[in-house]
Amino acid sequence: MSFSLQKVSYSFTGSENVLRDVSLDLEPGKFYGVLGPNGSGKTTFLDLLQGHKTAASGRVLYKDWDINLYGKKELAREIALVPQDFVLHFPFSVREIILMGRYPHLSRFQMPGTKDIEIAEKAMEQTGTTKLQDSLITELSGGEKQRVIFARALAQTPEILLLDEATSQLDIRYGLELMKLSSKLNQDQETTIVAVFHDINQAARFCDELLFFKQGELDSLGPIDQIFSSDTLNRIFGVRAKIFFEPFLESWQAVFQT
Amino acid sequence: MGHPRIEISVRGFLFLITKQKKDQVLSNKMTSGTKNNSNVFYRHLFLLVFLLFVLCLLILISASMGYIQISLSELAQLFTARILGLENMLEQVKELHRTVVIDVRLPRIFTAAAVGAGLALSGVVYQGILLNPLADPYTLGVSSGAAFGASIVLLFNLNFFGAYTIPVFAFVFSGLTLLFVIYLSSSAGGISSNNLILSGIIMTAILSAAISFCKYLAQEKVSIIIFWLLGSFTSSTWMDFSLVMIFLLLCLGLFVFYSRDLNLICLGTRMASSLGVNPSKLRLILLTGSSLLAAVCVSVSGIIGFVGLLIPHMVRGITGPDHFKLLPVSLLAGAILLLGADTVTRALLPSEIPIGVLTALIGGPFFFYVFRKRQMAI
Repeated sequence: MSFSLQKVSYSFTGSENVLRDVSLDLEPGKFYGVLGPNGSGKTTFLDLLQGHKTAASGRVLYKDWDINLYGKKELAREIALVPQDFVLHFPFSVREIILMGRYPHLSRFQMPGTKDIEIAEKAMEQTGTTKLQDSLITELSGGEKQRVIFARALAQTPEILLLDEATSQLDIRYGLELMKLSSKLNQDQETTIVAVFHDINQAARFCDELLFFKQGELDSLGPIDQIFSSDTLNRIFGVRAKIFFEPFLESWQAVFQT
Repeated sequence: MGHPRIEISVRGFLFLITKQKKDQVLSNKMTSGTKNNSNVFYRHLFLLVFLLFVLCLLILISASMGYIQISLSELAQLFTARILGLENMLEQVKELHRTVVIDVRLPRIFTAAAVGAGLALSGVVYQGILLNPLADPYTLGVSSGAAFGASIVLLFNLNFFGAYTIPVFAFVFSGLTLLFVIYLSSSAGGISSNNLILSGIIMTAILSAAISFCKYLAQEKVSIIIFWLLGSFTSSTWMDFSLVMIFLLLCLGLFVFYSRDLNLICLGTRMASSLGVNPSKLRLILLTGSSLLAAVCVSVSGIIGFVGLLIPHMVRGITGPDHFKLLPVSLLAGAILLLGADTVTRALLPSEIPIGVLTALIGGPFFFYVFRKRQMAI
C-alpha cells in the first residue's frame, strides 16, 4: 500500500470535524480522483497525505509506517504537491523556482549538479515552460504560474504526485496537456497520482478510481465503471445527472440538471 | 575634505548596480546551465568584495572627518602601528589624534556599521518569514518593547547596571514583547504570518500607549526619553560594538544555514512543507534569531527606522531574492548605509541631528521613489 488511513479525523480549533473517521487504502501506481462539494475535506485529505497536517485521531500510514515517523525532507523526495492557489511576493526567476524542486535531493549547501539541471530542464520541456525560464514568477499570468509550479513538482521526481485542482486556472489546452502528462507519468513511471478535481468529467476521463467526499466523510471509493453513476452524483452533489459513454473521448461523462 | 570622494564611490556603486542588472539579463539570455551558474557565482563574489572595499574606505574616510581633521596618511600610520603593534611608530602620531580616533570615533563608526548590518539582516529575514516585502525588524513590536524598557529606566532614574542599565532593560523588554507576540499568534494551526503581523500590531499599540504615559509622567525629563527614542551613536563604546557583533555573527551563521529553507518558505507554507521544510519550526527559530538581533541593535542605538526596510528591498533588486546571496550583500549594504548616514550627521552637518530622523528623511523619499517606479512599471 502507498497510503493507508485508519479512522483518521482532523479538525480546526473551534469548528466541526473537517474529516471524520476516514479509513481507506491507496495502492501504488494508480490514478485517483478526489471529488466532492466545496468544504467536504478534499484539501485537508491531501494535506494529511503529504504530512503537512497531522491527524487529530487515527493513523496515516505511508508505505506501512506512520507518516509522522518520516523526516520532512525524506517525504519531500517521494511526495510532491501542486497546490491550487499560489501567491508569491518575491521576484524569483522561473528557473530558480523549478530548481527548488531539487532541494530535497540536495544536502544543505550542495549546488544543483548537471543531473539536477537536466531533470529541471526536462520538467520545463514537458510543461512548456522552457521559454519562460528567465522570466520572473511575479510577472507571469495565473496559468503560466501554475505550469511553473507543476514543473517544480515534476523536478522533485516524486513517486507520488498530489494535485489540488492543479489545472483550475489553465486554458483548456494546457489543462488537458497537463492532465495527459500526469496520465503518462502514471503509466510510464508508475507514479501514483491523487488529484482533487473540480471538473467531474475530467476526473472521469483520466482517473482509474474515484473517491467521493461529503461533509468530511468518505462516501465511496472504487473504479470508475462501478462507482461513476447518476446515483452517486445525485447523492454527493445534490443534482440530477445523466451518465453516458462518450466515444470521442472513450470515457464515461456526465451532464447535470438541477 | 572627504565628501567628493564619498560621492564618487556612491556614483560608482549605482553604476555597478545598473551594469550588473544588464549583464545578468544578457547572460541569462545567452547562456544557460552550469557555465552560467559559475559566472553568476563570480559576479556575486565580486560584488561582495567590492562592497567590503567600499565599507573599509568609508570607515577610513569617516575616521578622518569630524571636528578635528586627521589626514589619511596619519590614519594609515596609526592603523598599521596598532595592528602590527609597533610602539615607536605609534608614538609618532599625536596623542590627541590617537585618543580621538581610537576612543571616540572608531567605537562609534564600528557600532554604526554593525547596527546597520544587523538591522538589514534582520529585515531580510523578517520579510522572508512574514512573506511580506513591507515587513521590517520592528513589525513585531521589538522596537516598542525596547523603547518601553528604556522609557522606564529614564523615567525612574533606575541604575542597576551602571551605563548598561538602558541597553539591558531595552533588550529584556523587547525579548518579553517577542514572547508575547509568539504566544498570541500561535494556535493549533502553527504560527502563521498573518497572525504574527496582527499580534505585532496589537503589542505595538499597547506599548505605544504605555510609552506615551511614561512621557506624560516624565514632564520636564521628557526630552531625554524622546532623544533616546530617536536613536544616536553619540555615546557608543567598544563594548556596544562587541555586543552587536557577537549577535551579528551568530545570526549570520544561523540565517545562511537556513537560507535555502527561507527561499522555500517564500513559496508559501503549504508548498514549503511539501518541499521538506517544517514551516512552524523554521519560523520560530528564525524569528527568535532576527528579533534578538534587532533587539540588541535597538538597545545600543535607539530606534533607527528604514534601514531594515530599505536595504533588503534595494539589494533584492541587485541579487534577486535568493537568500544565500541576499543575506551577505544586505549585511554589507546596511553597514555602508548607516555608517554613511552617521558620518553625515556627525561630521558634515553644522549641528548633529538624531540618526533616526536622518535615515527616515533619506529613506522615506527613496522608498516612495522605488514604490512609485514599480507601480509605473506595472
